[in-house]
Amino acid sequence: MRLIFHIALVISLLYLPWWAGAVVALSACFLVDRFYEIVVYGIIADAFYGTRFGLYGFGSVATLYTVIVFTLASIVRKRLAW
Amino acid sequence: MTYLRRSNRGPKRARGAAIAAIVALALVFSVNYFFPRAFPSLLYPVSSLFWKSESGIVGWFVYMGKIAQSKYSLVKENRRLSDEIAARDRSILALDALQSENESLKTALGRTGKENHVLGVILSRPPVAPYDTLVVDAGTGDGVKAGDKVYAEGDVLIGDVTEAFGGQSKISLFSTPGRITSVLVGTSTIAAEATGRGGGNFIVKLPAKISVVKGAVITVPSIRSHVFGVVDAVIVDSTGSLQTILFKSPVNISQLRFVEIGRK
Repeated sequence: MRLIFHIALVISLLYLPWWAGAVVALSACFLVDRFYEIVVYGIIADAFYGTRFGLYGFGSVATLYTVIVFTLASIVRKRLAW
Repeated sequence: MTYLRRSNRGPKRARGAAIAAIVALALVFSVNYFFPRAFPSLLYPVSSLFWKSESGIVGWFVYMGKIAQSKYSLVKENRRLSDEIAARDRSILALDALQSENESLKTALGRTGKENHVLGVILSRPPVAPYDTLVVDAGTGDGVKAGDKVYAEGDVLIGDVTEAFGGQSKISLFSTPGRITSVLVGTSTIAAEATGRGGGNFIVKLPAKISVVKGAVITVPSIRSHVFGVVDAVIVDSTGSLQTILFKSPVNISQLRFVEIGRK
């Protein structure tokens, strides 16, 4: 499962619209236990596509998104004893 | 009754792994934050290979589908004619801007705004990029450097180079959300500040008494006039003192294959 999500994330990072990558990242965090690597994908997405202008001046949107999704997924998984 | 002692090893190991992962991630983030060119320099050469193959693979599937429809030649002809019409429409828009530019340049003879242009193939564009950025296959090896202006369809200014690597460059579009650009509105060249809204869209606020019509050309203050956008809508606010002008770039970024980078 982890490997499949890694492949899906690489494909979405390079070829698919950003929102498709966001959905894959969300699914990976909820379905794979301790998917820490997701943050690396966020950092790479920012390094690939981000500029000093960012989005309204903030240049680490993808990193922030992955950190939030990972944290939320960890909390939910723990509470639900997934 | 005998109870087996619960092992504390599991949670301890998990906590250790979590701390190690957080430290590693913080390290990766720090490298990217303090050395923003490090990851793109390493990864762009690899990703470029995939991006270049993507256009070939996707293009093959698209054309195979059209052959199956047995109307391939008609589709091709239709596309060519559509592109030609769109290019001519843009040329007409450029003429308006050039006419007014010509008048003002008569007093400034001897000055030229000539740039050497480098053609760049777009490797990645929105919506793949979450930001309004393009990655093109021309870099410092082709003489491209940060700050160079980027044009589409010959004369439409769309962005500038923010980072140039060996064989690739990252371009930030002027329509990046929140990015402010100085523009001239209409043929009367009213100076204003346009704010990017993403996807080639912009917003400008001007006093309501200034007359701006739908279809007016927006240019940028430069020795050479370049079309920047076309007014799409004019909305006067409830107080009647201000008007909001919504305009967009005349080129569709998602349909572009090449851009021209103006080397200074």
